[in-house]
Amino acid sequence: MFAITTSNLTKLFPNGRGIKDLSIQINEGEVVSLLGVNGAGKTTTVRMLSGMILPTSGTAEIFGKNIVKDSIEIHSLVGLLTETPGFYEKMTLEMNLRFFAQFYENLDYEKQIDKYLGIFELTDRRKEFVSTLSKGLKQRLAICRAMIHEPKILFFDEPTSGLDPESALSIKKIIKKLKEEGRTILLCTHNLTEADELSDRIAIIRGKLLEIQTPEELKKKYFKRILVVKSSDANAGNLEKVKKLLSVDAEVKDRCFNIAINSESENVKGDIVKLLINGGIDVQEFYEKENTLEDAYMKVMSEEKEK
Amino acid sequence: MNKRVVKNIIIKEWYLTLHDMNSSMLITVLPLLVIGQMILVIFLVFRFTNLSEISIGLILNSIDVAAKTFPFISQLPLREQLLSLMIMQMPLYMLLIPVMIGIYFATFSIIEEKTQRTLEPLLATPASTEDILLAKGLSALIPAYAMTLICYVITVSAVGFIFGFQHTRILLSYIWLMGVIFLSPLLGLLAFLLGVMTSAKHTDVKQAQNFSLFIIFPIFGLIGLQFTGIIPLNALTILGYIAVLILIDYLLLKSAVSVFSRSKILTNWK
Repeated sequence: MFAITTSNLTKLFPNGRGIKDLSIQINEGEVVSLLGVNGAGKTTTVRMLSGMILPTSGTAEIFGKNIVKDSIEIHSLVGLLTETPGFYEKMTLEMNLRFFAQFYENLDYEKQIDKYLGIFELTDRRKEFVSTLSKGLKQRLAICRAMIHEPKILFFDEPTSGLDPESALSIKKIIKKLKEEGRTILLCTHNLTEADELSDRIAIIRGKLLEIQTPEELKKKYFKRILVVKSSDANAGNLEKVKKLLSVDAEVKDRCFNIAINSESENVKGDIVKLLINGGIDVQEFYEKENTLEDAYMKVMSEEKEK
Repeated sequence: MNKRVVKNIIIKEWYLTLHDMNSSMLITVLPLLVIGQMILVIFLVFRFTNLSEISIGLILNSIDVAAKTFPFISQLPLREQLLSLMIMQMPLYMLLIPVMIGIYFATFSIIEEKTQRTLEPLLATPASTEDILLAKGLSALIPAYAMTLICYVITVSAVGFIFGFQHTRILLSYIWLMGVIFLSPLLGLLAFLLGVMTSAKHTDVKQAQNFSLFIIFPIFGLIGLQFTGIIPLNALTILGYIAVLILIDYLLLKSAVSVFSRSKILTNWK
């Protein structure tokens, strides 16, 4: 059984925004990122999947439970980290957790509060008012709250948004740890590095599903191999000569030739360099440009715009 | 109804209210000030007004109307009759208490949830929106009703000690007992529901509370109409008020339940 299954899931708002015909399957223990710009439909998707808003059409199931018919049961199956982690600021950390934990049946909530405050290193501050916490610590507390009832799936909506680098790193470490524990996580983000680091698969959305692949597959599919050759001859005048020598696309950037590689072979880099030297081009240094998810993402987006 | 859910929310609402200086003052001190001011005004009018300077014709007409419900008034001297007429209006002022508390609780509670961004995590729990609404309603109505009854007891005692116990007969009449017991929770509910509906459209407590004027003005209107004898105070009038309020509350409840759904809160609310 899949942890999450959606079939043509659609939610359209009067302003025309939302998400259309989303069909995905997410396995148990998998971490999937929903990647997209603001307004792409990431939060709408999470709110539908957590049984909080009704879809316009289509269906979705969480561990076999229908998000419309079984919405109350779904609330117990999922843990939600909202984009802005709101807390009752005049209540202490443990009072906040106790308040939210008491909504779940058959839960030893005091034990759970002790457990998660301990895991997230907040035990020492349990009696303090939430208003005294930094944004990063509030985010940690929000993850505690999302996990307090031991949900089978976690939905994290922009977990590192607006955090300082240190806090963002600590949240990423927590998510990595949860991934190692085999938790199913759906991560909404527009942070490409975060998606690349944390996800098993990435779904790129913009009002609809554009791509769903592993980060490596995405990079491979949308990224051209580029050989960067540092040369004293790297100028516009020699660019045409290089293009003619190699019969490939190339450009000059930062005193280097950026040469497109049209082959999967590793040997091709050596062959290109030999051809350049034989053609009288000075070669000081060469290396292959590292693939980034950003390039793949921009490619998917630009292809979508062209359509 | 899930009792555990409702109890959990009520305790949280009361905790937050008591830990907010403005809210706790509004619920505990302001009602006492309202009745204190009312008693003081009546005392000053009774003590210092020169009867020849006021429009005797209008007052006599109002006293005649009042005496139909409370015949003992006609046997009192004119100054005492005027006092009885003023005391007759006191319970209507007291009905402002559930209105104030009801609307304050609704707007404070919901707008605070919105501004502190706690509404979405709350809606992510298995609590049904009906239970959340019920809990918020009870957390407003219980103190509103309790404060009205406390103020009623204080008013009756104060009137007895200051003006003489014969005047408490009006306040303790079955007409006003019925009014305080039934009208105050109905008005409190009306104020709460109106507060919920206006809170959906506003992000500022004061803006939302301005709508309380829609309830307060009609109450002042009734005080005026009753004082001048245009609307006589009797059991039928009170029953009429109760019936109208039940109808309005029912219609507002249906609208509030529809406004307070997960989907609408997350997509339509400001």
